[in-house]
Amino acid sequence: MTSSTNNIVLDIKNLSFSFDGLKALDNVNITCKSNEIHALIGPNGAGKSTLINTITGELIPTTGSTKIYGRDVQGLSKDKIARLGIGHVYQTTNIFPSLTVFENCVLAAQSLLSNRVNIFRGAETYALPGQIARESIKKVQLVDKMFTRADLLSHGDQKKTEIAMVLSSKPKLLLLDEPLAGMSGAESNTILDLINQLKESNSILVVEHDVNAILSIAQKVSVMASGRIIKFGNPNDVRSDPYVQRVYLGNHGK
Amino acid sequence: MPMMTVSHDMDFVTFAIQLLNAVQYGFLLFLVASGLTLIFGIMGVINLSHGSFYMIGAYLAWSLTDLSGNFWIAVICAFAISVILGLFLEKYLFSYLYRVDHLRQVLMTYGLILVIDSLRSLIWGDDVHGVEIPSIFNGTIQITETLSYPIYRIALSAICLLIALGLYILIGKTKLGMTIRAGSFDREMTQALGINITILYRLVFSFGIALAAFAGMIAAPVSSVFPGMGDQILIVSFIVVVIGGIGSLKGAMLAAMLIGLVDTFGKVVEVRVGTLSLLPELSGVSLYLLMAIVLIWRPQGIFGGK
Amino acid sequence: MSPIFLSRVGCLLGLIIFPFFADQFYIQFVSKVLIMAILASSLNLLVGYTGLVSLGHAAFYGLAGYALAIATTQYAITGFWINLFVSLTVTSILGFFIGALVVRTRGIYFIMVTLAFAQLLFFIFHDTDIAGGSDGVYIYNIPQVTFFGYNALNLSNPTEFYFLSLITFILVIFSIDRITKSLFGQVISGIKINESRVESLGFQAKYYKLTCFVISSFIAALAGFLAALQFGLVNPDMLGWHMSGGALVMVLLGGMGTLFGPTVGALVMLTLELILQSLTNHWQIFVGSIVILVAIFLPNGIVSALRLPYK
Repeated sequence: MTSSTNNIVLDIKNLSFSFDGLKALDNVNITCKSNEIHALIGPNGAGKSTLINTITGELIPTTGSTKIYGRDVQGLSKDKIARLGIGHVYQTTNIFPSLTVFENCVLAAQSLLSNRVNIFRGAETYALPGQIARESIKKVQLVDKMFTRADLLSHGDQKKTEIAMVLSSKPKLLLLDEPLAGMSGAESNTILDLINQLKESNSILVVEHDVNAILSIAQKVSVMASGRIIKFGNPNDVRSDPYVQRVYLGNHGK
Repeated sequence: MPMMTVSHDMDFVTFAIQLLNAVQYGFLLFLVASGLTLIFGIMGVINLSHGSFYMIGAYLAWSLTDLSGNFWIAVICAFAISVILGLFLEKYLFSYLYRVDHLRQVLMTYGLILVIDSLRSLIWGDDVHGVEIPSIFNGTIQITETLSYPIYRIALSAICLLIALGLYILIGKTKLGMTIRAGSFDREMTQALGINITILYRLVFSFGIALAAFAGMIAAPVSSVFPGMGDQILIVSFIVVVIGGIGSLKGAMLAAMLIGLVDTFGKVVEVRVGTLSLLPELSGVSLYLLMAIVLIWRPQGIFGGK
Repeated sequence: MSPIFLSRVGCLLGLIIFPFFADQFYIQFVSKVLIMAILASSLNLLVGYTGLVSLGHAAFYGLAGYALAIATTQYAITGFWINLFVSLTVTSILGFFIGALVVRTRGIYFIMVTLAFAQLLFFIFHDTDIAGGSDGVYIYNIPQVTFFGYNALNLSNPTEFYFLSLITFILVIFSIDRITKSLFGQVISGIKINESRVESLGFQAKYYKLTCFVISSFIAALAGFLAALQFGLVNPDMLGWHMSGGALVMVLLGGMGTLFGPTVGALVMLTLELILQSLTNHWQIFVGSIVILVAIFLPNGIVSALRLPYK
């Protein structure tokens, strides 16, 4: 383990975002390091999803800076930010419903090839995307449903498909927006194990309502309320903090 | 760089007359475009056959004036026929379009244009007709010794202005208007409030169509009645909707006036670059240039939401 | 050998030997079908594969025809290849500029804006005297196809023109097949299904849409170039929105997003028009009704409905 600043993947400083005069994000600071799971928790409307959307370029923050590997990405387009190594797993599953699991992943893996490819060369002649897709599908344990159309899968399997698809684009930072929402207990555990494994190759920022579940695998936790980070620390600090217990865990913790 | 020269032989009175013409054209465009933009904005339907109803209105006004001998009786009957036609078409054809994608809407309403055009040719023939100006407005206002302005054109603008005001109050200030706007934002919620969306949509739709037809009727005495008039007004109305922003009546009014001005003055002002004459030769193109400029600036139109 | 392959070879052989047995009228008719099939197939790249509904595609078809007419009549450019080059280049450049503007818009806006740009071109040719105004221009000197100095095809001869159309058609179908199966093709079909997802995976959707728009206008230009050669006449109706609407009907009637759907659509539509026109003056009523019925009952087109192996 090195303690140099090189392993800082995402560095958000003094970020604010106003919408219709409402301050959705207020002076937010967050850092994500490689091989680390950073959990973002907080009550509904705290601004967690808004924060994720400012990282991906879907929303443009009012003030502050967002740096990915030291590079300021403010104002860059969504696709450019994605190419810098950001993978986004949406809150409501966002995949290509009429394609199979494999096709979803191959399409994502193709983003690693150059934009200026030969338009007459068959897609199947490139070996790399298929290989990456297979690896990702294996990681999420969906090999048996690889050639099933995504819209015919269960909610849990669709979420796994989305994760596999995003992994296929080889992101360095994974943004997971409530990956456990709507999952059965067994499915939940599979996804948690998966996230824990992904830590080996990625930096992960995960928004989650199931606080106990996510604190069991996270290394860092930020607690958000009313657009502000009200507490930051490791899971034990956060669990024991009286302020956090009062505003958040007291109501929502299990 | 060759010199650009702008020339016109306009004194203040001619300018004022052209301005009146521009406003009158703008108002007519607004009547057609408002129906189009409401049907887009509220039902999400792209209706290519909207211009055909403008044409139907003009032909009805012409043939019924011929039959009854009175323009106003003709307009009243023609309006009633248009409303009924709108209700009928909504029930048996357009209601189907709420559930399908834009592509099928385009296809179906394009087919409808072909059908309406053939029926028009069967019933009324392919000739160009004129409608006489109704007698009470059949006069001119003498402005200077040599210049006069027809009263009917002023009356036409006044009628349009009243309708526009009525629409503004109906949509912006009444409970019905609020319901209509709510319907465009959230169908389910409106239904949960106990409002019958099916009836509401039918009314809005036939009203939108009747507005286009009405514009055709009152325009008939100042412009000729001819087969291609539906296509022509449809495309200009599209530009109005694109510039104004889909679903925005305010935008439609602003854009209609802008286009009225650009179109009218584009035909009377001369612009040359060196020896190359740009206006009035290219006045037909100026509308599209205006649209292109607005789109570069705001792809969703002036008052369009994102 | 698969039955699909055999049926394709069969169709191709039929198309090759057909002119040796048919009337001149039918040779010209099938040439026209092939040209419209090229136009519809180019539109299919936008509508069927990328999900961009253009109602102004005839602009490129017409512009290519006008480029040929202006080059031969006003600049006395007579060579076939130089005319082809000029026509395709001019149209593609315009396709790039119009495309750059229209891909910024979505949905209903895209439909209306493509229509409006096509009308802009329509009025430029209709209202000014750069090319005969509303009457259009006759092309008296049809360029002859030369190949390394030899006269290869005499295009005034319907049979030889037919073969030029057939060769172009085959090249176009082959190219579209390759394009849609390439990486580029995978991404544009992704854009059709879920554009925002394509972007958040790191693809620059606008770049793909623009490229597709230019390729599509290039192929439409091929069709327009051939049409101008066949009729020896160009007029503003070639760019008009009824031309665009007609092409869109062919794409949907045959089956959008399928390789041969637009061809089937062009064949069915033109045959229907031919038959109906001989029966009644008001044939548009029937065409219009058929279009409405197709929109309601056959949204995926003939190819899908019959499960023809022409995907």
